[in-house]
Amino acid sequence: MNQSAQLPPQLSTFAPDVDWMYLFLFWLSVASFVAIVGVMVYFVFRYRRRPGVDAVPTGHGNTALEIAWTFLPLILLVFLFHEGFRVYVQESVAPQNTVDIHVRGMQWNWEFTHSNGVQEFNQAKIPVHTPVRMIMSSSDVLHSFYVPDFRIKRDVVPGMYSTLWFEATELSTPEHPVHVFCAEYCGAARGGTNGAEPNTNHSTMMADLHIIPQADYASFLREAGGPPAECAGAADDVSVCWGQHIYEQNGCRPCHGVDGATQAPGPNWKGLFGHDVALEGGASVTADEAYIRRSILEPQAQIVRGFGNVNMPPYHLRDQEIDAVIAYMRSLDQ
Amino acid sequence: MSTDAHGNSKFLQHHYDTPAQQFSAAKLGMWLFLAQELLFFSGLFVAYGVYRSWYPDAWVVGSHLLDYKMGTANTCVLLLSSFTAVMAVRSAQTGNQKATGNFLLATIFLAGCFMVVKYFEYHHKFQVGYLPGQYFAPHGEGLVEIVAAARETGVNGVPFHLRTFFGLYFVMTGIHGLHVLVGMFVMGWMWNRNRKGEFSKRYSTPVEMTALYWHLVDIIWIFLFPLLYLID
Amino acid sequence: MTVEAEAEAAMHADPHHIPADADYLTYERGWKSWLTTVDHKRIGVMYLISILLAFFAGGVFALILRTELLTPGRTIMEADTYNEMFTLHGAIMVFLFIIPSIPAAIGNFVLPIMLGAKDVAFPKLNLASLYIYWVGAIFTLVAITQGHIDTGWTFYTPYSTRADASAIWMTIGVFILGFSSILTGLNFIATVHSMRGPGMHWRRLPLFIWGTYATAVIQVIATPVLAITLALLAMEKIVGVGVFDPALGGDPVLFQHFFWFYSHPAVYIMILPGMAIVNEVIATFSRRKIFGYMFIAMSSVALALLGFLVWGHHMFVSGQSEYATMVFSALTFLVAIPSGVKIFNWLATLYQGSISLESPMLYSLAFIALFTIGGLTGLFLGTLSTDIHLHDTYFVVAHFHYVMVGGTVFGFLSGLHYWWPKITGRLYDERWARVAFALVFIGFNVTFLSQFVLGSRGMPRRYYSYLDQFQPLHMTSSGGAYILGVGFLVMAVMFAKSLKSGEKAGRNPWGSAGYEWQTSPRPHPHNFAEQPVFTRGPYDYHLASERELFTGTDAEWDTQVAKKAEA
Repeated sequence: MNQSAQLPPQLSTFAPDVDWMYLFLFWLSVASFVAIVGVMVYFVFRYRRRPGVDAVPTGHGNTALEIAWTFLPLILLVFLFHEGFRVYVQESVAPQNTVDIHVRGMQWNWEFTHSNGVQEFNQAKIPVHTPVRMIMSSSDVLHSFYVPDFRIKRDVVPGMYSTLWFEATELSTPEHPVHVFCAEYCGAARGGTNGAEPNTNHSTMMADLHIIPQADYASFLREAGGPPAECAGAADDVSVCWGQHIYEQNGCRPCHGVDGATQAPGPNWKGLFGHDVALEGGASVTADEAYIRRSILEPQAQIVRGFGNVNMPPYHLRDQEIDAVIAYMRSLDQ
Repeated sequence: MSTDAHGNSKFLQHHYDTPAQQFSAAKLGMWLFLAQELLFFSGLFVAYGVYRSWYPDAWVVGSHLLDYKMGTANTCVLLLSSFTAVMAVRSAQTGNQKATGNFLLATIFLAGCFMVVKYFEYHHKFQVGYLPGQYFAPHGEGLVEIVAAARETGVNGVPFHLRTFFGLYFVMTGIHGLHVLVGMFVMGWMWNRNRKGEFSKRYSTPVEMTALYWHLVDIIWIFLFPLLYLID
Repeated sequence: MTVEAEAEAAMHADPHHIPADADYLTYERGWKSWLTTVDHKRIGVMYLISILLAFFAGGVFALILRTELLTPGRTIMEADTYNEMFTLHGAIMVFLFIIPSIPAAIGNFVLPIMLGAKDVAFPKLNLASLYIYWVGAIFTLVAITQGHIDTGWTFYTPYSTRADASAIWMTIGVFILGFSSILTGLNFIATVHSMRGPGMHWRRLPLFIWGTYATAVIQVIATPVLAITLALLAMEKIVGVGVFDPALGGDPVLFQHFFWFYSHPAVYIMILPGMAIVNEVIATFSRRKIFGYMFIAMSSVALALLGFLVWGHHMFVSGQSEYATMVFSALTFLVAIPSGVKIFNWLATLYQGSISLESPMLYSLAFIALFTIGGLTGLFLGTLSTDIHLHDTYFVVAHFHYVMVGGTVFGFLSGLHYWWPKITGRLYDERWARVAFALVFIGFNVTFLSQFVLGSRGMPRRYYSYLDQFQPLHMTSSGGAYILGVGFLVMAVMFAKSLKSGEKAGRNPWGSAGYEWQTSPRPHPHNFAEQPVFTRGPYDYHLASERELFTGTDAEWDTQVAKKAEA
């Protein structure tokens, strides 16, 4: 159907039905509004106060008219309910053979885990023309997974799992991915730095869905999930390159600087590895491999002094990924 | 003199035409107030119902950790106090100033007993670590009691949601207790007004309204008691 | 003694006797007489001043946040401050302004007079309600200055249970404000049941009373649920009870159920009084009884009752069960019907009327148009498939501003302009009123029509920054907000001038058949010098006498009568 200027591009199988309903309601509203305001304006003009012309007393009303304008709209409303309900049922009942992706929302990032265990941060590959089911939960507060182009949304709730499914109908380009927005208010970093920076608050908690051909997704699933392709020919250590890639893609960069200067919201990585770190509660520890690993997987265990209120969430990196991050950190001091 | 220059009872307020109109308005107002009190408590009962249906084990064990003897005593005390409240109203309606005062005092006294028993219950729980929500930390005798209760009720282990049970226990009985205290204060005020001779056969509205409130406080306890103390 | 001398002596002997020509504003003077008054009219005036101050404060926060939204990135503040701005805008507007507005400020003034009563059923309780409102307002102020309230006015958990402790102050403040609302509602119900004057049967009640009565029922039944929700929220923050925070074993969706069980009926507390006013204004300015009187009265009651059944439509995507979602959608469509019935009846009232377009009427007619948009856009949100797309986007923000501002605020303004001469005894400048109306109407529509499109295009709400493509519509919306602000300023200046030097009003400047217009221009402290007896309905223009419908001052009437006698 024709794309409406009021609505985003139709990139899922649900979109045409949802848009049909939206536009039906839109034109119904326009017609009703024109009728009601038209009648009002006409009456105001036609029955404007004139000398010598009195209002006609209302009398006993008209019960037939009252019943008509009570029950006729009701018929229309039953139709609206039914249509909305029909599409909702389709959206609620996923087909049997979905590709499942686990989603974790956390202030203010999206973590996607594919069925092969590979994780992506704030972006996800999605196979086109395939029913995909998102199984979602939150690590902290309420979030909501909203993809306007697909017309789908579901809250992401801590302590429980919620699901939604969709089937993308067009490939995306790297320049124009399909956006995921967080649609349930989830706060902002206190004493924030730059709220327009990605992943620092509710309005910048976005993810990009890359809709790729089914064959590409299938081969991605077969990969072990090693370093990204561009690190294969890295001049120095592939690990350092991978670690830097993780730093930039997996949500570390918004909070941790690597220039030795900024110390907010999280500690700077330059000059960190191998040095002593004072902790909250008075103890101190050497920032070795074990400490770095623990800080990623259990960030609340050994908090650096002065960062007690930051509440870094755990990041479920795999062992090789943690090794790469450590390699990158060490490289900062060379 | 209980009438003013217009020949009206001095308790007839200026915006009412007759004492009957004023009394009927007062009764309606008080029933509306009771209705909203009921809705206030109903939120707590809904929370109770939801969590009991999700975590029945915690609820059974928790209930066994409450002292049903103290609860029963309190129930009897409150029922008796509702009776003395009714007697206070009757005395006021028949113009018996002395009896009115005595029955009001009796009601206050019984309410006080309720609060004292409540104090002992709360005190014990604080001592053994049955604190609400995140402060729930049973120790010593407290742990022993929990294990015993779990065994008695056939529950495996210590239910995690005991903390939620106790959280709701303290909120529900605590808010109820606040209402008892408010009731005691209002009845004290009525006792003082009675002492000054303000009530008579023709005017006993404040006593009646106070008693209505007191009956609601009693009824809420009648529901709280079995729901909290008598789960099996 | 002569009869006159006896009467004179009796008057002075009885301290309760108030001269027949006294007026409630000047009868007693001084701070103390105001702060200890039990006169419902003075209490209404104090409420009016309070809620207008709250409206101003809420409006300032709105202008601040719309200014931030002029550009996609940082404009004038950081994200955490912006979050506080929209939270405060919402909380102040909902709890300090709109819920009390019409019932407490206008209802208090007008309701007893319309019933032929001297005061409400419980005048001291009325004064207590006002004091409780002020205490609640102070707690809210403390919350604003003490910390960072950034939870949104909806306080969803677990963000609110883990956020700043200042949320506890705000929670307590709103809890206290709730009591003020409950007691006002309780007072009104008792008043309508017990204090109707002779001849005032239920079927003769002005429709303003029916609407206010239905509102009062909701206030008494729904608000305690908000109270317990806030009490549990405060307990959760203070002792970590574990009802709403999953980290403590609780359920965040349960909070939403509790919250919306009150907050949906609350929106009917907001709209029913606006509709109640529209009844009076349309009748007066068409000089005709409202068409379908009983249907309008019953539709108010229907809205009040049905409003309790639909709270889950705020939670279609929350993770509640699909079955609950479907039931709530079906019930939501039902609740649309009574509102439609009113609109059609109002249009039928205009038919064969004698219509004049003074400013109160302009606001009421605008109400019809704008509430229609608000109501129709509600259909998009009640329909499940479209709601999934539109929930938590700017579409919702636009929808509720159309019903709350285009509906309630326009209704409030209609009532304020309508009853201004009765409250103050003065007229305002009608030309400036129309200028202000035009600015407010245009500003409002520019601000919020653009937001429907923002929402349908996928712009989520409560966003500090946004994608570049949304900027033109945001700039349009913010521009509209400034126009709206200017409109209110013009209105404020106009009303201030009226207070200072406005032309003195007669008792019935609009020529209405309503009873409140039969009191002196500023009513007697006891409303009427003598108990009125009602022998006709409030909209019976064909039964009202020429004296009753005369729009000039009492002196002008006497002159007219004298001239006729001479002729």
